Amino acid sequence: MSVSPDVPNFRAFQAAFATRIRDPRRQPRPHGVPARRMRVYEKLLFNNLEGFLLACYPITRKLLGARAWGRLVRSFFVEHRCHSPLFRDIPGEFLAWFEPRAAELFPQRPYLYEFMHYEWVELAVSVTPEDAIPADADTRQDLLAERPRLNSTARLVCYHYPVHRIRPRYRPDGRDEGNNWYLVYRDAEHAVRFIALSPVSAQLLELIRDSEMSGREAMLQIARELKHRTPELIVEVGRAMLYKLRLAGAVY
Amino acid sequence: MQKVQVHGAGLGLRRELLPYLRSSIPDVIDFLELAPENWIDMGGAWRRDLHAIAEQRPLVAHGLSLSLGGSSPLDEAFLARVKRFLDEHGITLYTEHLSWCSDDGHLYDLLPIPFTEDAVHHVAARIRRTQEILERRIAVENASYYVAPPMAEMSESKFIRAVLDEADCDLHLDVNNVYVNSVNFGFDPWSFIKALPAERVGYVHVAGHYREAEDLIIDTHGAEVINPVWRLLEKTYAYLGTPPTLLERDFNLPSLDELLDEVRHIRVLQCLHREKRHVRVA
Repeated sequence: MSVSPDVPNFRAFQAAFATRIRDPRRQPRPHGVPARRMRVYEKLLFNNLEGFLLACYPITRKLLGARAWGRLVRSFFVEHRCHSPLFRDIPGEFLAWFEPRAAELFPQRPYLYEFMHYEWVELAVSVTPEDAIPADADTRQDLLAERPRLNSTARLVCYHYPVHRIRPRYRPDGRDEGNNWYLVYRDAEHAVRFIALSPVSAQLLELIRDSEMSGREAMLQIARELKHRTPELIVEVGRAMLYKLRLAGAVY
Repeated sequence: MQKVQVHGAGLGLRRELLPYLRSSIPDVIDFLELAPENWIDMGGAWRRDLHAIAEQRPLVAHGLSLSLGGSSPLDEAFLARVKRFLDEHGITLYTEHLSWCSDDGHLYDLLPIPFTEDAVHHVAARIRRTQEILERRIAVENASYYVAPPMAEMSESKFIRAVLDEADCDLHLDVNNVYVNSVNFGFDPWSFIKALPAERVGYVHVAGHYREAEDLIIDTHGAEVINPVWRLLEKTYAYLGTPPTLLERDFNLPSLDELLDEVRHIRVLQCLHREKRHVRVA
């Protein structure tokens, strides 16, 4: 932050102090501040920020290793300005900051942004204020005849990589593997659940989310798009899917 | 929700403690304290547990992100959310830190305010505005720090007094912070407390810390309270009475029983000094 001469002394100090904390290797230590005490703040604030990020991205940190991870957190601290007072928003700001930089920073890991998004979705779903299933919902309705509803906490996400299989010991070789759909939601006991979806169940859930169709109408539309000769067979597939999803607390 | 005044001894509400507290809070805990930044608009298990806790005991809100000493504009939209949160859970007491935690973005940790005349006016105006928006009197906490900004024009105790007078707010006295600063900057902690306006102290914190070196303590809230800090708390009670007092423990959490022993110790000290004062009055 640049400081004009009519800014009070104390504000000039604060600007210099914060600038140094964000970037100790390149920014000067403010006058009159002992090096050892300055380092206390440099470490405290970095570790604190890293702690909030680690709570959300434990596997990303393992994939990258301590040094690359540390450099990434440092760049974020130097370049980005978080505007949310809530700590739970920090990982989302980190992800948004990282997205346009991912390809340049990690050309060997084209799956990295999607994997981080996958880790972040768990946090987003765990804290979202929506109720999973309204208390007055009819949880025994005929899901083919009536309109099924998607659990309000649910997020339907699609990645180019099978992110649920990524571990330090398994990294995709960089080839785009097509559509990998997941449903992430909170169940009635408030636990976050992940379901890897087939393309058909993903399409069904999209229709449920975005339209007012009954289960049968949604399946018939899918059958039309598949140019299936026996649509009733597809409707039966849909019946099994919907009842399984209801049992899992994902639809009602 | 109905508003409740707090008294006695409390414990900081940490996520790790929820499984032990949500169904039944031990009698020795009179109230719990939380950071609104961790709980505002949270859903799911968080909201369920918070409601379970709030049904059993009064809550105190101890803010972390308001940046009363910061340079960027006071976040009034955030304060409106804090107000709704306090009202929803019947929280009377809201306290924040005499420190800053943002430049042109959030830094998410507490930094030392230079003790200058300009800073007094700046901080006091922000506290006044906060009290207007929250529609209540707040208390501000004396912060721990490791760097004394070199352009100070007054002592810390004089700075605190000037801010409290100009803002007309209460003091949240953190006895551990006084002790931490007394070691980090070589002053007598008891003289420091005596220089503060006793009549404004509405709330007290006590905590453990990490001694990094002979002349440096880090205020981690990650260990048990040490004896010199207990003695300082006891002298404080003898001097100004027994405001509601909270045990802060944020890291290296021991068993709940060990935490309860410390909360119980707060209670014992409060009882002793309440009785002594009664005797003196009689």
